Amino acid sequence: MPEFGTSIVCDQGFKNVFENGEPVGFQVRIRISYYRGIPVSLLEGYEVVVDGEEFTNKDISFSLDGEKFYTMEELGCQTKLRWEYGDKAYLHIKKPGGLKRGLHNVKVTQHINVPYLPFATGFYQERKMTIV
Amino acid sequence: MKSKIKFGVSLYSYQDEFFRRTMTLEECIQAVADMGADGIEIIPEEMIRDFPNLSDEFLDKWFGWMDKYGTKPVAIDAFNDERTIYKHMGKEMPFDEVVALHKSYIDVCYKLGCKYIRGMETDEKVLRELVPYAEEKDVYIGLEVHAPHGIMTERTQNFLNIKEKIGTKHMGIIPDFGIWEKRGVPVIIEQCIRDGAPRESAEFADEKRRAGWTWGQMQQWLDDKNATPIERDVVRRAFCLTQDDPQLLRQAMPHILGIHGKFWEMTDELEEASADYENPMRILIEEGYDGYINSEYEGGRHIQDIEEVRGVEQVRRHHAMMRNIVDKIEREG
Repeated sequence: MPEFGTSIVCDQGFKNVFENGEPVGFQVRIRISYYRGIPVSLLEGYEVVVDGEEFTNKDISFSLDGEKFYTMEELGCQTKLRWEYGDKAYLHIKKPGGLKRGLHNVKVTQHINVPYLPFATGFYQERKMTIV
Repeated sequence: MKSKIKFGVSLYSYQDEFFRRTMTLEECIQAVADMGADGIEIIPEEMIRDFPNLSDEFLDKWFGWMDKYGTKPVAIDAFNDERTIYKHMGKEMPFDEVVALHKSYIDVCYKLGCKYIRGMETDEKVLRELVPYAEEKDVYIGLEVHAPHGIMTERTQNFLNIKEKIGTKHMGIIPDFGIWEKRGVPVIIEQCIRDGAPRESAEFADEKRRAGWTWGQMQQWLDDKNATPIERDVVRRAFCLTQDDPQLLRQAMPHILGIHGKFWEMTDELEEASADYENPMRILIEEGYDGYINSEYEGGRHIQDIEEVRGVEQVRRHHAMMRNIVDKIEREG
């Protein structure tokens, strides 16, 4: 549901992220909670809550292709880069040790500075998801 | 009196089906043709990849669909991203980039074969740069007259004054049926109630609106009972309506590029629960309006938490209602 984001968080691609063989965080894939594609600088940021533990912009990086990641600060300067409507982007969230195998309660809030509102929208979705 | 009104759909109406990938762009176009309508309005950034650079391959498909289904490109919808695109950096978008952004919409409108752009709400300085370009491409720059504004209110009149000063034909307005509200929108009010607003307060506000209370009196009542934010919201939704005089359409006729058929909920009785369609349509028919009314279903976002959104079915009901109204007016003479 494009606006309220009740289907923005994807079940696929929920996994730990490794660096040099060590889990350093986890990945969530997400779609736009809006009804059109946008220049990514319109993204104000994210809050991710996993089993009550909260992560904010400073812990989160964003990628359109899973290769090139941007911090939220860097993303805010990308006025030419467009996120196509419906495409699944990647969020990497720093958490040393990653998440344990099994079910987790995941809530993702996505904030977008749409041009006709004085504040950023904040649509969220919360669901149980599984690390394999 | 014979109606010359043409019927179309803003494919935005099918946003839920499109987002869920139960319908492709081609199927959205087919859904319009299915009902015997032929006007297509599109948000390019929603349904076409690589905006604003449309590939020849896509354009071949687009015009192929128009031929196949007997539909016509009518309008595209634009966004004023200059307001927020640099917000994160705490800066304004440079003037030349604002002009380039809007010129890209003119290009996309032209390439898609559409007549006008809905929603280009920018200032005189930018419009002076855009108008010669729009004239060259024979594309019309349109301001939507959307609630809480009206045809004679400041924002609309400013835009028409700029049009006059520039001395162009290529600017105009798109009145939206949301400016002719009969009562608060039930799907919005019900959503507020699900979110915790008291039903009695919504009903009280509706009753007092009919009884002629002022918004000041209503606010005093809210203050006196120390109302919660969601209660204030539901009262505002039930009380503060946009009720522009449909008669104003007559003087606006030379500036009208199209009409946006905003609706929130088509009931089983084929009535739109809030917007007045009959009076404005009667005036459009009397004035010989021969442009499009493009349906814009906007109720989905207010029910998606409780039921399946059926944009296609809602639009079909909307067109059945509009055709009933045309028949009635033609019959009555």
